[in-house]
Amino acid sequence: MRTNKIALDDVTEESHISSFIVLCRAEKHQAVEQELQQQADIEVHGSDEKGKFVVVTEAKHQGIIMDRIDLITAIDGVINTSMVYHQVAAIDELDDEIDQTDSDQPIEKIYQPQMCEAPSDADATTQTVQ
Amino acid sequence: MKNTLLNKVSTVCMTAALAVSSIVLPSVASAADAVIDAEPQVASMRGTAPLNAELTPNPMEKVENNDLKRQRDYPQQPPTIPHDISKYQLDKNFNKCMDCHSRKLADEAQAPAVSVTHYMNRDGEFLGEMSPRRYFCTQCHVHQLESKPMVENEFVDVDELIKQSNQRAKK
Amino acid sequence: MKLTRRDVIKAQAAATAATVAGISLPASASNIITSSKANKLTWSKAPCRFCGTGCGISVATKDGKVVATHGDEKAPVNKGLSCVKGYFLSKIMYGKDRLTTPMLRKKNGQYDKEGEFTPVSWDEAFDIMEVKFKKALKEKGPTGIGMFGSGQWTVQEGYAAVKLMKAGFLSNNIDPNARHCMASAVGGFMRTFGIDEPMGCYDDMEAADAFVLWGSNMAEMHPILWTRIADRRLSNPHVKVAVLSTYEHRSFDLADIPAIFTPQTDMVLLNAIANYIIESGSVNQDFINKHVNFREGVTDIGYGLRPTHELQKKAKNPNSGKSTPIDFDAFAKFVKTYTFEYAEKMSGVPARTIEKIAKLYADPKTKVMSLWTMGANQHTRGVWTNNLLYNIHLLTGKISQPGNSPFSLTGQPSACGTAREVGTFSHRLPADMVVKNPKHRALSEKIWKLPKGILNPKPGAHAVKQVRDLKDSKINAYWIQVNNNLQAGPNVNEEILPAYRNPDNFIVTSDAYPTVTAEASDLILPSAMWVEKEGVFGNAERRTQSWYQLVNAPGDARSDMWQIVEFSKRFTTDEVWPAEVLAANPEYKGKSLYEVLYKNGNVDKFPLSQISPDYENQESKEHGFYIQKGLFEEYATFGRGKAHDLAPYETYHSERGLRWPVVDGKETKWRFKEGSDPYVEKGKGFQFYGKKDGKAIIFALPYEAPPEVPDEEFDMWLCTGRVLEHWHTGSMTQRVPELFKAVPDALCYLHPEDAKKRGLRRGDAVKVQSRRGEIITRVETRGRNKPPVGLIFVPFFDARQLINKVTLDATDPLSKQTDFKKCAVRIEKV
Repeated sequence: MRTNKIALDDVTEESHISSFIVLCRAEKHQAVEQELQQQADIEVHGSDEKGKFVVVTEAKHQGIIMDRIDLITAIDGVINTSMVYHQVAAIDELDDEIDQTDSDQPIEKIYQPQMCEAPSDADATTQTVQ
Repeated sequence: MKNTLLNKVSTVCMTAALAVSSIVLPSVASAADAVIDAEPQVASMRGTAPLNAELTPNPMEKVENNDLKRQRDYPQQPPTIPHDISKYQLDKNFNKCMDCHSRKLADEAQAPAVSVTHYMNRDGEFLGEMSPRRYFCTQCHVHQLESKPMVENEFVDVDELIKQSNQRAKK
Repeated sequence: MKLTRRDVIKAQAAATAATVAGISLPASASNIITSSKANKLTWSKAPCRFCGTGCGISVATKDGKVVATHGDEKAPVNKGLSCVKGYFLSKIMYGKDRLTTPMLRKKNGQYDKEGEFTPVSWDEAFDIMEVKFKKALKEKGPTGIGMFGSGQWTVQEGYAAVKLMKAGFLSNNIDPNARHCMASAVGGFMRTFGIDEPMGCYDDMEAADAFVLWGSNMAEMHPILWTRIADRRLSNPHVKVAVLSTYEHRSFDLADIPAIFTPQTDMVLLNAIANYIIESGSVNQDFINKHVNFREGVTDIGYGLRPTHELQKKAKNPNSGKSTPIDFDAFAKFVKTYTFEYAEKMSGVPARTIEKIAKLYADPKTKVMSLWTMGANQHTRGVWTNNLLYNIHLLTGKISQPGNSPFSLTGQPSACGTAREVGTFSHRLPADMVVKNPKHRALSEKIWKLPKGILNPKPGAHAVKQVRDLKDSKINAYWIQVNNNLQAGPNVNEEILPAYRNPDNFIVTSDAYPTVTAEASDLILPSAMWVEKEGVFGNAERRTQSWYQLVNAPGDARSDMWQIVEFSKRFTTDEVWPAEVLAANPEYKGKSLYEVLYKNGNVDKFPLSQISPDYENQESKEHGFYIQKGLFEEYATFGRGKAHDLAPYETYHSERGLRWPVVDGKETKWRFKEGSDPYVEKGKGFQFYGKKDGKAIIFALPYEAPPEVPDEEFDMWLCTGRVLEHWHTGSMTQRVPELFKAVPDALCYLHPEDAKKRGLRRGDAVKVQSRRGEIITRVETRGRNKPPVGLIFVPFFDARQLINKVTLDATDPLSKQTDFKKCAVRIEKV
């Protein structure tokens, strides 16, 4: 069996921010939402009536994120948890304030793709925005 | 960039030297010969061989086979394959890659599972299994040999650009 | 509200997941994203720069750089997918050796054919070009100069070039490298239908029950279309895929019916299938009675070699495309000798396999899509082979309906849009018109606002002839744009290298990177590429797609269009037009070609105010008018109302492309069929309106042998081609580290038995030799291509291994397209 070695570069002071789509049976929607809200490390950013949730989480290591995926999937009614987005940032930059003077001149998005080609699970080294 | 003449002769075999009776040689007037016989001045992908000569090609390199994840330039980019796949079966009957990279088996194999987009059909609807349009992995994911690129690439990823622009803003 | 970087990243993570899931987030959440300029990317659309599939690409830019590219979810062609080359488009412009300044061969401060490349200004570059082009025009007239362009020109660039050469210099010596690529397809369309380009479209791939690949390796060469076929095949068990080729390759991984045939015998197989259709009573009688004529073609037409070549002298009817009318019975009799047994003997394909394929065509309930590209086109009987492919679709009436589709695939991003539709071929004018036809010339003169009768009626030199004319000192000033002919053209050793280095000649190459063609030139001009300029491409399904300039080109690099238009300012009508024309039309006297061709009231009609305020457009700003729109709209005049209708220019900036003819704002998916093509008259059912009587032609054409076959001395077939990871000569993709490392070197793919016979092992260095030249490469016996005994495959992307030193410059005698797929070679251990 192939083992998944992690590059040495990964073991630095960094933080992993990920988003998932959680898919549950529509009739369990409310119960699952309650369950998700109770988890301290998970933020629910949105949902729809068909049973899809957008969930964001942050952790010091990708392994922790994988564990959280397992926890979410274990919730009664959840069919599937898919990671969509994963970004690694240096931990000391995360609390930097973003200069608000920029916000007055948004760059016009001429074209907004509906979805992006998501990074695969547990991909530790991408660091970008979409 | 110029090699010495001696060096050149040792690494490059001229077509003329190898010519056999049945091979017709180009008959080019002398004025242009100097240019043709010289090492390329600008063609950086040609190596040191004059246009009318042949280099002995580099030995066939091995596939990088260390399972180490590689930096990607942006999240939409398909990851390159960090291991050898030369003996994998990948045809309409069987997809060996999915032995480890399918969602169900990724835990056991500790291989990254394919991303959620691989479960979408042409219309963006989710399917229960991997979409057949994504079935042939090698159309997007490629292995890497241990060869060294001949020309550097100066692509700057967005993170670096943001850093630069933040630094500019702070000043 | 104070925001940290964490907030922004989390919001982006959420927004990305939300778009994937199709959920809209509360406004407060999405606001966070727009409030951070630092993290903001601008996403724009552009068609892919590589093959003729024409995938839509989403391009992200930031601070003047392309930072990400991926398949556009909204693009109907690829719906979010892209092949590995497409995903790495973001890096093709950033090779360290991008050309950023013109370079001239100089010695002691002067131009010298033997000099060293020295950076010069654009003025100095144009000065020497002007001198050399004027000298050649003066000494030899319009045939003394030449231009070699490409199906990678944008529509506007190709159109500007056609105008400069044909209307300005009155020279028809302009040809695109599409001649090496699509000329036989064009010949096939014109002969069978009288109008160019496929009747069907990619939607056929979701409708067909069977796919037959004729010598095409779509898995590598048209990967995204292959995903559509794989999707159809793997989702629908009844669907069959037949793959025919001269060697086994990746497309065989999906094949239900694999077949390896002896080179050139695809013609035998096609005639055998036609025979089976007739003998099994599967002819669609009603269809052929109403919509088809039969003709028998002249045979023994030679091989497009130099007229002095023995084989050419032996031909009875060299270069003849003549044919005489016959009836159905005569056609049936003609193909009767092509039995499965005969076909098996000739092709090596077992009769039962041929029968399986024939039945796909013969069964009226099976919707069949035939697909082909270079295997059929780069063929010394390429036009014939295209004709024979249409034969089997016409006999069964399987054409112009969803899923029933003979489909000619395209190699370059705008081989259709530019090379073919704009008329950059040496014999053509825009919209399928030809220089030979006085009516076509008159119409062109009218649209171009030129004096009557000025256009040159004599077809110019095609790609291969241009090289021969350069070698023979008949063309002395030559301009190459967007192609790398010293690597991609045939018989480099005997023809192209001596042609370019001929001391009588001045060779100019415009490119983004220093290719081997640039190396063999005298002046190199740095070109802007892809999204560094605004442009339009047309793909293989007639889809016209536009893009804006998204970033600036580095240094002094400028678009090919800018180069063409600027160069036109250096010439006056008095210098290049006949005195009698000017005497009869004094209003043109003393004007520059720039004024006559581009400031003609059409091209300069649209003011700068119409340029998108969101995007840069350096060229238009420099010229003072919206030049891309002006060129496009003048060009579109040729096709509107003539079954080539294009939409207004702006439409293409908002659409993910439209398939022409676009009539009343609606695109056309299936041509020649009532109900789906507005040009078909009511009640006709089908109408092949390219022909006067509305009938397509089924041609009786025999198998004829290729010019060079393996013998004792040169005992192997050589087939050349591409690989998935590199595009054509690799000048862009070899500069992307990931693509380079995926396939760094060309290899000689060889059957293990052939290796054993010669004492060769995988990885050994070998010489591949033909009667014309040789290269040194390495043996691969286990790779993705598995040739049969007696055939080798060597790709042409590697500049260090110029396999075209080995190939033969034989062409189809009708289309003048080179056969890169077969010549005789031998291999020897180094």
